[in-house]
Amino acid sequence: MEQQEAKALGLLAEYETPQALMAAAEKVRDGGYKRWDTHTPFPVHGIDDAMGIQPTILPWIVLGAGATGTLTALLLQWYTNGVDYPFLISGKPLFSWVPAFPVTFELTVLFAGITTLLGMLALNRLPRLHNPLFDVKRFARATQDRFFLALDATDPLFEDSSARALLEGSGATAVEDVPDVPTNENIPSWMWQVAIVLVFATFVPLGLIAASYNSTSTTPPFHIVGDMDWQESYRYGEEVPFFDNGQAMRGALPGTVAVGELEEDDAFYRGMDDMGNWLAVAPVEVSKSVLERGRERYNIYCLPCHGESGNGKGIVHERALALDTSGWLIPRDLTMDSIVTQPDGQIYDTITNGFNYDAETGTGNMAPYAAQIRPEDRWAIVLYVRALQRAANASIEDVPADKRSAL
Amino acid sequence: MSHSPSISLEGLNPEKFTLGARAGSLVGRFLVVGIVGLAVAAALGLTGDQGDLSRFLHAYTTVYVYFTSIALGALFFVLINHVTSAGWSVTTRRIAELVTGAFPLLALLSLPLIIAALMGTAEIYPWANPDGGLVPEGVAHLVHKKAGFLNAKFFAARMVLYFVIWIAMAAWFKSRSLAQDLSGDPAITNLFKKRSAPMIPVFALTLTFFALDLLMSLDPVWYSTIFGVYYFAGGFLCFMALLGILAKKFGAEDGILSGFIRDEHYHDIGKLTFAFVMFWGYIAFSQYILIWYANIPEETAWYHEREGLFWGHVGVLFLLKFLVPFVGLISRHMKRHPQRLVIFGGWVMVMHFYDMFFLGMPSHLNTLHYLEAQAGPATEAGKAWHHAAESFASMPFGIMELACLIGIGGLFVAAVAKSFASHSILAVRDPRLPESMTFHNP
Ligand code: HEC
Repeated sequence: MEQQEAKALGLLAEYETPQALMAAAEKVRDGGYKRWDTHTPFPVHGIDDAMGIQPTILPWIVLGAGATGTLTALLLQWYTNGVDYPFLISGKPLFSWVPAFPVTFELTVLFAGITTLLGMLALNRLPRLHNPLFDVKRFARATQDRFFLALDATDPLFEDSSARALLEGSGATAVEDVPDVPTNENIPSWMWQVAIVLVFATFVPLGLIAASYNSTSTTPPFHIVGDMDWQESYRYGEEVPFFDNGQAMRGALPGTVAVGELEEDDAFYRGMDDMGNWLAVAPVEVSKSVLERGRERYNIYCLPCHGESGNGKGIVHERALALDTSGWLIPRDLTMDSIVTQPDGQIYDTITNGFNYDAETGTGNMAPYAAQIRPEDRWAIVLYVRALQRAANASIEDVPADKRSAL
Repeated sequence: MSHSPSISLEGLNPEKFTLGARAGSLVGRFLVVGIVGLAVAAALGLTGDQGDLSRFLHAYTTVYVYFTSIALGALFFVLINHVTSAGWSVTTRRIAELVTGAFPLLALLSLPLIIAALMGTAEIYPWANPDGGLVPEGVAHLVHKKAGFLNAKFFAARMVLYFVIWIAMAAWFKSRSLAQDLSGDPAITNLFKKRSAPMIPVFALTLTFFALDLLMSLDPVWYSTIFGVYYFAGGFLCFMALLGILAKKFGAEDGILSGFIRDEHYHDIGKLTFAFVMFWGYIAFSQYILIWYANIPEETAWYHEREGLFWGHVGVLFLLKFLVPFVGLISRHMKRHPQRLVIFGGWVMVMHFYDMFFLGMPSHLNTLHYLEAQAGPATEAGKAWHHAAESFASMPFGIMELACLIGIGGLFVAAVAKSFASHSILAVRDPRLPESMTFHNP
């Protein structure tokens, strides 16, 4: 703006009715002016056409934002659930369109909604703290009962006398200059202060979250909505009249096989190779912890009969002899040659199916332990029995040289 | 302001807006077409091979609920515009009032279904004959428990009740509105507003139970609490699509409502169509996701049966009925362009039919499977049922479905045309007519 004497920023014309404003707007539009606007106390339908306003590009911006929301939501869910932290929930696919849809919908709407607001503000160059029109006294009635048309002096076609003539001839009840009153356009300091406080306030919840993230607490969480924590549900075996068998538990459908229940691995579950021969070596990794586990299980399940060292003279055996129970079958000495030479698979089979045992009558030399001992523990016991056999048949050479003196 | 100044709203003559012979000539023709269509379908159903009776009743139901949903959509359009004191819709509201003139015919067409229920035809209503073996074994006792509601006599009584209510509502609005054509009495408009509000819940309940009775009860074990809303959303959507098409027909330059139906009206019809595309999609998806998530056999079975037919996947219906018109109608430009509105309107109407097909016909296949299992798959009869199921699955839209569509569709068009032929299709002295002629969409 030139540094001359106070020059008008534009012209403001006042009208009494929306019809008059509309007619004037059509004239100004047809006059080819570009930088002008109308101000009315209420929305006047059809004013857009009268002003020749082109459709705004806001819908396209919103469309773009919506599409970004869609994409963000899909990528986020696909990456977090399907790639970064795959977590199987009741057999559902890790990523599927169906559960992804609601979040996608929400994010699409969120992005589009926020963009609509911000885009509208930006396209209208808002927020704007001061408008020169406010310096025209009569303009206050724009929110009450008068209709205004403001023509900006920066319009390329603007030329004071012709513009004034156009407005005066358009049915205006008054045409006035918009004065160039110097105003302080700085943002008032209190606004800055409020803004700074607000910015800092936003860090408070983040800080609280970070603090609780890195600490542990013994107090129970408080339940805002408790229906997840205390659900109404039936317990196993409870009675319920709804189903025709009267039970809350629904049995598996005939033919269903739960994951891992098939036990098709012959080597692991039956101790055999493909040809049906006993495995020579247990199909599990040997480690100290497995042997410890084997010792523990052996001491629980086998020791009473076969004895702590495997010699077949366990406490049950001793007691049976003390009672003089005739017909007491002496448990095998597990360290004897015929068992030392057995393949691992066969010992495993003895634990699983018993020895000389008849499942029909439930009688035999040794009962099966399949129901009590899980397969991996059975193998651990086999390994421990092997260790007992080595110990029973050991010589001084097996003891580390520096420990021999202790014996 | 912006309607063409040549149209004066003073002293409009209802005679001038009566289609007369232009619609009247359709009545006879469509009546004949309809009767022939229905006769063919009934003959096929009653005398045909094994399974044809079930197919006839299912196809009949499918087509019947389709056209009823349109009439219900029209009735709702009248109700909702009155209750909201809508001014924009006045020049199109009479069209809706006249479409509701099809209710007496629809009442008559419900007879075959009522008779089927009363005769205990388990092929379509397994609950009508709970020991007929068409209910899966483990849940048969549930059907017995529902017998207090799902029994033939109560069903028949309910059907009568629905139609008494709908015919009365539709006739009341139509006759008062026609009377206003002569008197111009604004009190009638006020009365409309007052009465339509309590009528909406009545409408909602009757529509919901109608949908439960005719569609959900085909599988008496399955249930979805959102089902009535689903049927409503589709029906109103379909009516809005039809209204767009009729508006274009009558509002075109040589049309009888030329000048009365403006771009603004297309825009608003387009907006409502678009809104209900979304609403239907929302409801359809809501129903699906809950069942998908819970994954309970007695619920998922319903969708499972619907995966196999036609396009093979539930999602296809969603894509075709939701996504296509959603993308198509999203822009303001498309809604204000009558020709394009008509194209998407036609698309939506066809997709709504596919939707009704999707709800109704798979139950027929189910029936055949049960009958096959009942007869024993190895027996002669069992093989015949199996054959019927296979031939249906290979061509689910066959002569039977076509005959039903032509039959009920023909009669429906005849009834609506008759309604159009004898009344003004413009509410000429509605006090809000000037508003409807001048409003602007922002
Ligand atoms: C109730 C006492 C008892 C318990 C407990 C018991 N056994 Fe036995 N076990 C026997 C008897 C008795 C025999 C057979 C003696 C015979 O037939 O001469 C036997 C035999 C065996 C044999 C030799 C089979 C063969 O092929 O010769 C093995 C190996 C064996 N047991 C391992 C175990 C293991 C491992 C456990 C621990 C899981 C276990 N037993 C627990 C009593 C028991």
